[in-house]
Amino acid sequence: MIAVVLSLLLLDQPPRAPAATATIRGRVMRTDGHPLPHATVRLTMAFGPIVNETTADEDGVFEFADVRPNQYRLAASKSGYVTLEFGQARASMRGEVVAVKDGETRERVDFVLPRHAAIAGRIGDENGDPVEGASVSVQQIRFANGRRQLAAVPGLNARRTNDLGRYRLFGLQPGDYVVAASVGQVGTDDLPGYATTFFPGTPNPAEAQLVRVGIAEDAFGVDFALTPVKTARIMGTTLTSTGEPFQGGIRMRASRRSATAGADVGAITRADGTFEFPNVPAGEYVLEGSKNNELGWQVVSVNGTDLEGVVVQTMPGSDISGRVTFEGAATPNRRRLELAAIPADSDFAGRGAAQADIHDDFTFHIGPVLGPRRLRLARAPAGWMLKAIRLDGQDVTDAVMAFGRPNQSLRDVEIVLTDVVTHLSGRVADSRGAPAADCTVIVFPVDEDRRYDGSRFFATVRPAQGGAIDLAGLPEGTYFVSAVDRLPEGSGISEDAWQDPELLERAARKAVRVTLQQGQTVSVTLRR
Amino acid sequence: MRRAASLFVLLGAAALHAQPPPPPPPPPHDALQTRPLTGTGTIRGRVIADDGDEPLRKARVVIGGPTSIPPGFTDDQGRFAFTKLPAGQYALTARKAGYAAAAFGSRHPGEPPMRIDLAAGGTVDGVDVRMMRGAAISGRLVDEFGEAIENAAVFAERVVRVAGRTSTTSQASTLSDDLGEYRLGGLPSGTYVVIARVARPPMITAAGGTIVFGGPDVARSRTYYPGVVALAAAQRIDVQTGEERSAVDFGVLAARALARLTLSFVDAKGNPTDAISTLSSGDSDAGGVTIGIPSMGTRTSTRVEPGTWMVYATGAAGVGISSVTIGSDDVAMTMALTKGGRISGRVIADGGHLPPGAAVEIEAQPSTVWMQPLLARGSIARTGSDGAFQLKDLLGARQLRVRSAPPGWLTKAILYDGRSLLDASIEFKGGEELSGVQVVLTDRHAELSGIVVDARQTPLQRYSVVVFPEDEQLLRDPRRLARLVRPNQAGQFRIDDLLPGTYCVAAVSDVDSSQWLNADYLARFRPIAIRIAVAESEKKNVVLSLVDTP
Repeated sequence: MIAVVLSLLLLDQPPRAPAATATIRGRVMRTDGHPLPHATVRLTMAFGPIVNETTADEDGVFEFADVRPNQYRLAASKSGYVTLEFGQARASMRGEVVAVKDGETRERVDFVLPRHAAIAGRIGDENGDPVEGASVSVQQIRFANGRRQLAAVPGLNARRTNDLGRYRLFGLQPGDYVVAASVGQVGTDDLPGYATTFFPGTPNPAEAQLVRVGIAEDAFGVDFALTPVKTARIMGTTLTSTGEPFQGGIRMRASRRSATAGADVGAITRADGTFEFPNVPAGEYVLEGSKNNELGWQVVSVNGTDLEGVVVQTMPGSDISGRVTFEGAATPNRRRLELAAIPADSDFAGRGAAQADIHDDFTFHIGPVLGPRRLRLARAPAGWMLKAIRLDGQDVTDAVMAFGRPNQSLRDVEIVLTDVVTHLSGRVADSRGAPAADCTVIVFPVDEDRRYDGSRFFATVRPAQGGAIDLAGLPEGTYFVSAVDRLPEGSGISEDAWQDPELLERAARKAVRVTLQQGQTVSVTLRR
Repeated sequence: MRRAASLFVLLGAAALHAQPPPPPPPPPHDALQTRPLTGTGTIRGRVIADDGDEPLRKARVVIGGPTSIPPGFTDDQGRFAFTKLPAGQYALTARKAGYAAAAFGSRHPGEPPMRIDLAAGGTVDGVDVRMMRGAAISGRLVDEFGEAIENAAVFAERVVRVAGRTSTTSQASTLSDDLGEYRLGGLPSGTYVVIARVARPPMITAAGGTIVFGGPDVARSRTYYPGVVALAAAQRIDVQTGEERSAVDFGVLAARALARLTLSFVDAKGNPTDAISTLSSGDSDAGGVTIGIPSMGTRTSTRVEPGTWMVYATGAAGVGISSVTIGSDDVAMTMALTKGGRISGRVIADGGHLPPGAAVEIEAQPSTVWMQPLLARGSIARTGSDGAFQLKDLLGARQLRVRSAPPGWLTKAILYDGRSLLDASIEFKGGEELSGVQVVLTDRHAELSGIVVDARQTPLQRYSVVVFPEDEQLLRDPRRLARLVRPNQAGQFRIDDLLPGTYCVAAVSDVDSSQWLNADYLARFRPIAIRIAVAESEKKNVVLSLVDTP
């Protein structure tokens, strides 16, 4: 009786709110071991907003008192230094979670901040006169959307040259950079007749010289002159699929055969459907015209001479229809099916992947589709995988097909699913044999023809806690499997950056070779 | 704030698992839809360095006129030509790295440029622009610990006084780099103040692209060289043509050190109510700063620099105005919102009709000049098709004026109950109503044109003509009726928007453009000016003699 009463009394107590009694202390230092004074240290929830902020003292010492027991992350920052989270091992990863309990004092939450580097120099014209207001930026070679291109470094802003033609690009991590300078944009009148020029003074990105900066090692004297180029005008007409001219809706960008990912360029357009791109430097370009739902392309090669009479005619788009059939015991869940027509050439990608509408009876429809495309089963229900895509008895599973006009539409496409699924399973271990989970396992085809953008033969998987992996549904074929550094997350790095042909070639040399056949489960042991 | 915090938690959690979205396709870029030029006129000239007379190549020449014209660039002989121009008035500016931007006919910043009058099919030659070497001010910004401040916005500003209010206009701007260093180049010779503005960002991007949400609020701080907040205490820096003034180093006031102002809003019954607020600095010495606090709520707070501030709040319950003085301590204040005053009336045309569909903007402008940017919104009304207008939620001292009228129409009178409201201040304390106000516009304005000669009757090519009403009452706001005119390329001047009346007119070689538009400065011209009377729609042509600038 008494025990029951006591337990009832205990149940009635309201839960105690955690008191704010923990303390977190640490020190911010430079890479040479000296204290870094007056850094800003921020205390944030492990997955959430900032809780508090303080400034470290002259010895780099900081303290957060009266902290509620919880899980946190800390970040230290200071102008001129790399901002780091506590316990951040690599630039692309987050730092450690700092958990504190009631009354606990957590010490030694220390930071070592490397200094940012800078690149400085002067931009002149071909006469040696300073150029003011030129936009100078650093770029790095990146692989994205199936092509290697120069792209801006995330988190860094371009700077403009001052009245002496001088610039200073700062906030750089150690590395190799391409320095690019440009005035205005192609298509505007801001000092026309100059191409984007790369240090040491060439408009050809392949000839650009990399500028190396180390930790706290600035690069000075990165001077170069803008290259005057003979620019040309591109003139033509935009027409709809029925031959009617239309105004506007025309833009131009560098073709993927050129190494730069330039910005889109604008044109002078007129009511009679004619357009004009002034000041275009030499190179290969793709002109894209769009009107309502129609889209069309034209590739031009510019070489200093004006181009006239370029016709860009839009297409209304094609339709793809058919049905999903399945070889297996049960019926798959229609809602877990995702089918799309994905672009096969980034120059003609239009509005991106075209998703299919899959109906209750497993018939489907995709449309309108424009440009060269492949059919791709982006997602299959658990326990199912794609066996083949068939059209008129032919296997078109990885075939590139052209779309755009109504007479290019396809009917009776058959998407065949099977419940006999391949499995690639295994373990990743480090050199001592202990499970390694802090990595990514990449899987890519041995056959280079199968390494196209968006290919179904590419896969990545992150090992579970014990280093175990299990990848279901890879298509039949021979693969390289390799465990690599955890792939970076975050803005600016595209998902498919690891598919850079050069990176794959290097990975292939140390990878395990695996052949998967229908329904097989193959096991691998990978060394990190 | 609490609501905001939970939103951040959600975003933070989602960010870890979401894939970066593909960048949206940029919109079709039909940027340059300029019509091809179809006129027949030509304007030609050269850009020359003032020291040594050498031609300047690749100078960028911008011409403004009746239609949009792409800029031109000088050749190796410094020559430029604009062709296929329609007839009209043009002004021309040249820019080149290392030189101060120069307008044709303007010898220093603030002096209005000379016009170019181009006849149809005509050619104007000899439009030469002399460029002087630009001066530069450079230095280093540090915080309260002596550490460099990165990405502060730094400006070189000229101090000007207009209608009794001191403010600044920016001549050059830049951002400080990671060493805290800045350089403001291309400056014309003159006197400047240097100001640095630092905004603490609400978000910080850590390495690897992860975003850490920071700061309880965005605090702005502005500091003038040598490290003061008030414009009156800012050190003036004089630079000559081409001078390099370096080591203009100063410490920027820490935003953290600013006091916090917390405002609570109540309605007429004393119940909390939502409002948006704006602050405007009352110190004319502070250079007229206006801070808008965008959040709507019953309570809001922000960090504010010391000084006297006017606070204006507007919400569903009405409007409120209050004055607050900020020192170094935090201040909390309650503002009661009341129904504001109202002005309604009609715009009529003097002896005629306004063009059909024309809209007129009427403004109940705050009488105190530095409050004008504070109350800009909500103080302007557009007339309907019947010419009627209504202004509501008015509080404080206001002046009724015509903010914009169809081209060629000027304000002749504003009448209420038999009295003129032109330049008169009306005090609104809460709920006053003025109805039946008549705003009279006229298109029968007068024109004054002519030439200026020297003592030997030789016509002059460069001068300035100052024109202002003789009646001192009409000069209470000089912006309405005073004019400063430069000649065109042929030495002729023309003012075509004068209301009938008697004016003081003086032709001088130079005017202090940083403060000419003030009643006390113009008063100096009274003894040396001649009186000219113009009637409705009269076109008067005169020959003026040059007099010494007073």
